[in-house]
Amino acid sequence: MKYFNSYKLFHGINQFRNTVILILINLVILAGTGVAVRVSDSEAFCGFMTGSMPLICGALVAAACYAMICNVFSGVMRTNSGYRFFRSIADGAEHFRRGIIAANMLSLIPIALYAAVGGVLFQHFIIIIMTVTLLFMNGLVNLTGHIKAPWLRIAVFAVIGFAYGFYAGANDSEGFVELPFNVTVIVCAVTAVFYIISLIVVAVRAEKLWNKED
Amino acid sequence: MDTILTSKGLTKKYSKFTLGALDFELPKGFATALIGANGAGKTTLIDLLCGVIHANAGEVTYFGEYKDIDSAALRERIGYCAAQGFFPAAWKARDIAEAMSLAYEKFDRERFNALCRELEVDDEHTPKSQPMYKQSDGNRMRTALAAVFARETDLLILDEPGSSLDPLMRDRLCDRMRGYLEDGDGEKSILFSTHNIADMENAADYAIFMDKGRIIEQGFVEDLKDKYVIVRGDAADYDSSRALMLSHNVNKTMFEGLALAAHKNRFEAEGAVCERPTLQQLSIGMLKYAEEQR
Repeated sequence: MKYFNSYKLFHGINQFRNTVILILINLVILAGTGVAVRVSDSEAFCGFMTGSMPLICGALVAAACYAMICNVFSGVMRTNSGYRFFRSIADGAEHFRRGIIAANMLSLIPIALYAAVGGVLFQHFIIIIMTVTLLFMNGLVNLTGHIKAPWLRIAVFAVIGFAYGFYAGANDSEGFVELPFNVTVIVCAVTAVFYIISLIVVAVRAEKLWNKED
Repeated sequence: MDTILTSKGLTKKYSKFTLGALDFELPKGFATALIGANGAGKTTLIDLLCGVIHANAGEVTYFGEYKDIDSAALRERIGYCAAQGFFPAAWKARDIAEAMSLAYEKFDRERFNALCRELEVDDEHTPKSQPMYKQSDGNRMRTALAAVFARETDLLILDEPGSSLDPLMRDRLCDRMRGYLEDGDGEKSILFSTHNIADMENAADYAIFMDKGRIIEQGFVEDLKDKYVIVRGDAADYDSSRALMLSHNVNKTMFEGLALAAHKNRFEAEGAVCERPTLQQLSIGMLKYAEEQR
């Protein structure tokens, strides 16, 4: 609970509520799309919906996860309002460390829900890829500390966009051979390890990040 | 003098500005005004004292026992409010109440709501309350003050608390500050900064004057008013009086300036009038003197 409290301290109830609403809307849209595809006879309609809706919802879940983690990191940025409040609180560095860990754990919930809902309804290879990419993005945010550089923010979303586009296009391409199952497992495992390492690194570096002055 | 805070050689260096080395003491049970022009280093000093930034050298002792501002027990005892953007811009009163409850053990949520209502800003029960970025500077400051006064603290450090408030609210703030000291029965103290002391003169017992990162004068306000005089005389006598004044203004008919009270007899012998300065006059005279001496 104290981890969640530290997270709430940085995120604010209002923004947390908005993030939860955004994630729920995404999941409802995703589920609705899945149901619509199941009951529809139109091949064109189903093709479009299964290709596009997981991508759109995945991108929105990515944005929500990104905001959840970055809002905690914002507490150490002098340019942001609230900087002096966060800096002046008792046990600030510890709150910061716990807040980052809690944000990461919480961000896994929408990713897992997304993967579960998408996987059950669409049974689509793209869901795995998107989930992996979401984890990769979270790991990147952890390791870079924050999105100080605008190019990094663009790069993160560009990688996600490319991954989605590539696999969506590949699935529709007759000449494309899907990645073998064992390669997919390896990619997933490597990403999971990368994410766990990023989480350990950021937890260890939290106090140093907190005490760093611009 | 009982002190609540002692600074020795406190220094903070930036590429284009250096604060210190500062040696000063804050008297226990009183309100200390940190007076200086923009860029004097008031906010940097407050940031250092509240642990927002860390010093390059020097030492601060709080309450006679704590030397590490990162101590959680010490931070619990210090109430701090920054000049602008203290809370995240997207936060509403409810976020602030929640965050303060999580950050501090002795935060009274009901008192926060009551203070918000008293200061005429959104509390956490206000329907459709506005986030900070939609509120005026004055309302943001009122909310921040409500949050800091809702805590049980022994030392309040307020950065420019009156600068964004209207005169009526500044007066109410002075009353609240006096009430805080009275409730403390000599155990609570306040440090507040300002570049315009005129509206908060009644709130200050002790004053520290700063210029370009240095302390140029400090002392109890009443002692300082005894130490200095405001001199007024005919413009014709200006040249003979000028050398003894620290700072001065002259026009075609008269001159006015700040001088040491020790020279009072000499001014009066030349027909000038000497008056006890107000804190506002003292601060303008001191800062002008410091500017001329740079």
